[in-house]
Amino acid sequence: MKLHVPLLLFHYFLSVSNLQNANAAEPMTALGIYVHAFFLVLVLGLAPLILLLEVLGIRKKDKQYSHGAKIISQVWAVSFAFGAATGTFVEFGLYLVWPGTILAISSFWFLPFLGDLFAFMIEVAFLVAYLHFWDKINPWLHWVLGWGIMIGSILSGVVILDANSWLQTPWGTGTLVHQILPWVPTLGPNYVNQTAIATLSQTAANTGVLNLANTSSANSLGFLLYNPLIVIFNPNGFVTSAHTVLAAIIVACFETSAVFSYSYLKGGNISQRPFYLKIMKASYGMAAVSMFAQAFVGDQMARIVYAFQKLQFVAFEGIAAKGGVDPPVGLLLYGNLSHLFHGFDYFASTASQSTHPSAVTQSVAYAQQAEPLLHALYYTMVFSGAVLLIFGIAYFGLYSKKIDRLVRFVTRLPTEKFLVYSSFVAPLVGLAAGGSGWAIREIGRHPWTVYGLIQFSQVVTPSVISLQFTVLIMALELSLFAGGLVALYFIPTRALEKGEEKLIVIRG
Amino acid sequence: MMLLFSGLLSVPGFTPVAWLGFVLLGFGLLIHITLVNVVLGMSVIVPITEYIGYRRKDKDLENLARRLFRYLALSDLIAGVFGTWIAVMLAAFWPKLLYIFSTILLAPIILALVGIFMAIPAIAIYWYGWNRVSKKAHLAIGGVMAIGGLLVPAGFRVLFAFINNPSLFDVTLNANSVSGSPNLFLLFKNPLYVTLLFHSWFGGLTMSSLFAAGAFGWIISGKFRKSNPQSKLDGQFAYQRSVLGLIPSTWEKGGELPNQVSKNQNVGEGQNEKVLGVAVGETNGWDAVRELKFVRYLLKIGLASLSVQSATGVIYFFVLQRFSPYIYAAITGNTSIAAYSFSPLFAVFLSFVALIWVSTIALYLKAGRRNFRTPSRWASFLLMLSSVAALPLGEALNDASRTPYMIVSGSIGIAANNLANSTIPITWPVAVIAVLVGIFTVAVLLSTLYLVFVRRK
Repeated sequence: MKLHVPLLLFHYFLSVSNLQNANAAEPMTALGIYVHAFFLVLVLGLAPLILLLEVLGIRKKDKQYSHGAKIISQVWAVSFAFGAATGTFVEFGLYLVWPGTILAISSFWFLPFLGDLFAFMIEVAFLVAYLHFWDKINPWLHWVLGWGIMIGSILSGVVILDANSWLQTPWGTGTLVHQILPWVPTLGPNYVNQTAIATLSQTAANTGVLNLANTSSANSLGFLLYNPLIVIFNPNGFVTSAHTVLAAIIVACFETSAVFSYSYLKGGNISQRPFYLKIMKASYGMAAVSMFAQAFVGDQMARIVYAFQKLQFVAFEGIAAKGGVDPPVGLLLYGNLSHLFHGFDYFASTASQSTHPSAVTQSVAYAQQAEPLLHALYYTMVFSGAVLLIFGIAYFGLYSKKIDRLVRFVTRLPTEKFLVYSSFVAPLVGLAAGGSGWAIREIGRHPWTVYGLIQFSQVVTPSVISLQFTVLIMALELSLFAGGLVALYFIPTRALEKGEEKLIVIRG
Repeated sequence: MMLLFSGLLSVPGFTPVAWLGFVLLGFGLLIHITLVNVVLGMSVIVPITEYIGYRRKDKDLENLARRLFRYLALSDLIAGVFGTWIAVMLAAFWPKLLYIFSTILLAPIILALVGIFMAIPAIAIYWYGWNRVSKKAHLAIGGVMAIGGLLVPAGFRVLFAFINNPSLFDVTLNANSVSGSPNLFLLFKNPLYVTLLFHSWFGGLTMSSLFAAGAFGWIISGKFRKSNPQSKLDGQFAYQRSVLGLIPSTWEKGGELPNQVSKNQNVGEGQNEKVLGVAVGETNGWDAVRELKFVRYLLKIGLASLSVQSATGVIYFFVLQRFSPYIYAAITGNTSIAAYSFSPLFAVFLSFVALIWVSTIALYLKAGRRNFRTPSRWASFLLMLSSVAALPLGEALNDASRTPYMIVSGSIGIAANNLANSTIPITWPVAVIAVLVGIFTVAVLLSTLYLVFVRRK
């Protein structure tokens, strides 16, 4: 027996409105993820800064560092709460708006799901303990509790990024994607049942994945995946995790330095100004050091995209349809300034080698269509990164007379003042870089949910998504964002202005 | 070790993935449902208590509302974590079931989500707005919090009513799938849904009010015993102790009545109370008379909702008999229809319900207005235990009685084995690791919360 009526309905929607439905669902999903990411960036990125400040406070017996760590941990707590609330929103969005995703690929996300859950629970436990035990236990022990939060949040981030990276490069599928999209290399060892995945992919293309909800059809596929661990050994996952965690640290630390620079310039309590300056310098410093690491990891990220998602690479680099040279990239990748890169025409011509030629033409058409946007986003990201790297170099003017002289020469400001003023620009530039980078990643994968295997219109809900519904959900997402911003502003600001009695302390 | 775990975890008739999924989902569900009932109950009780306190100008009741809110906040924190647990377990182990829910029952899930996203900000604003916004505005926010709390089961109980009998939604079920589009307009004519919903609403009120009453009773009797070591708390009247000269020295306050007693007319009128006021009056910021008033207040709410809850429970039993015969057969031990008998578990559940009634009445009689006694420590303990245990026990009974099916209709269903994630090899080592990591993380979380909120180190 089949799922008669829903299947008929689904046939109807698939032929008539599944693509419209998917297009209608995308803006609210994208906004939800950005809102969620805004808070997660703070949770992920503030952890090392708080630990640094706390350890400086303990080692140097400097209460200002400890006080700074305490205040920033308030932001941490608020961000965590809003991250959890927006995470619930995103999670339900995935289940309700894109239900076919879970049905089709829950096997591949099995470990990331469980890993994220356990990491989240560890984070909650250590966060409650960290906020409760300030000044109540040995400071070193308290510092170790902070490590619990950092490990939990990074682990949670890494496994979710692994899940996303698997959508970009379905690692462990061997030559399966190559057979469909010939420019994709072999994706690791084959740990999947290729016949079952091919059936799934074909079924999805014809009728959507709904057929999998019929237990006899699903069970007849047999195992899809033989080794669930393969998902976390994806090279894309390693680099994406490092790139994203570093980006989170950079953005969060620059945001922190902006807040303390503002307090410093605003004046207020004069005796507090050295404190503001000290914490600003520490957070700026952590962002600066991370920027150097990011330059290296960003290069690795680009190499991963070039290796596994050439269409995306061609689109964001803006290489001509007939192919062309890109001297800096040619130099970086091949040591050859005049290396000739293939263009869209070449990739379209590979359709003849594909088991699904229409998948090739569709992918190329999407990439060509998205090229202007991806190109603009890519260069926004690259230039933002370059600006932040310059800020990072300028930071060392605090320690190097040569760099200080250079900063003074260019800006007519001493390094310290330059850091104070540039603190206001840096987080905006950082957010632009991070936001663009993520947009390139997601738009560049179109029309695929799982690259080469399942398209986004094949996993969207069969229920019609109306414009009113989309607007309502986006309004809710923006309200959550606004609520979070208000809480993020008031709680630490009150703590800064009125002292520690206004800090969030979890009391028994 | 692996063999031992395999032995413990494997159950005839279940595939490893189905059994592991069932255990992990059930574990999270029982903790979650227990805690969300506290959240639901307190979301209603707290604003009502604040409102009554405001109308009567009774500061004690406002103080009670504030104290009860702490139960709500803590329960919501842990319930939220276990809500995530359930969602993850459904996606990882039961993708087909999740798909059926998320496509066929989209509207009720959205209703529940509206409730969640009404309640979460309302809880935060309610807390931070206390004494910062006008009383009327604060009560209005409390109203939003209560409505949000009530909407959540109104949405999610549709899922439970659905898996108990999808045919009541105009869909049909066979061994492999659910067919048809549900007619959600039939919802309010669906006896399974309506009784489940009322059972949930009053269950939340009953559990939270009675648990809190038991907790206050326990604290009062504990403080009394600590300050009066001679006492065995065997039901003696407090005034008898005072008359016999057994008043603890720390409670002697020069024979004056505490202001609380003389000012507040709700406390009671009898001479015994006045003597008790001297005996167990305000000491070191702790006011026994006020605490006893709380016990009495909560017991009144608890008794009223327990009556409705018990009535809906009985109705639900007969509704099951008619509309979900498989579950009814499993509960009543009729193995000619059901694969397994859960009648022993049903007997245990009924015993706990009886215990709630007995301990509530015992405590109410002791804390009654004209019979002002120190609450019995035993009755308080049993009330806490039974009120907190009966609800998950009832839920476990209802859910386990579908075994080996996940969705039942009449006397057939879709087997859990068929709905479990069949596309991934869950070997016993994977199962063991998943369970061990789960136990570890839950232990870390609960130990931390215990240290922070209970031991208050």
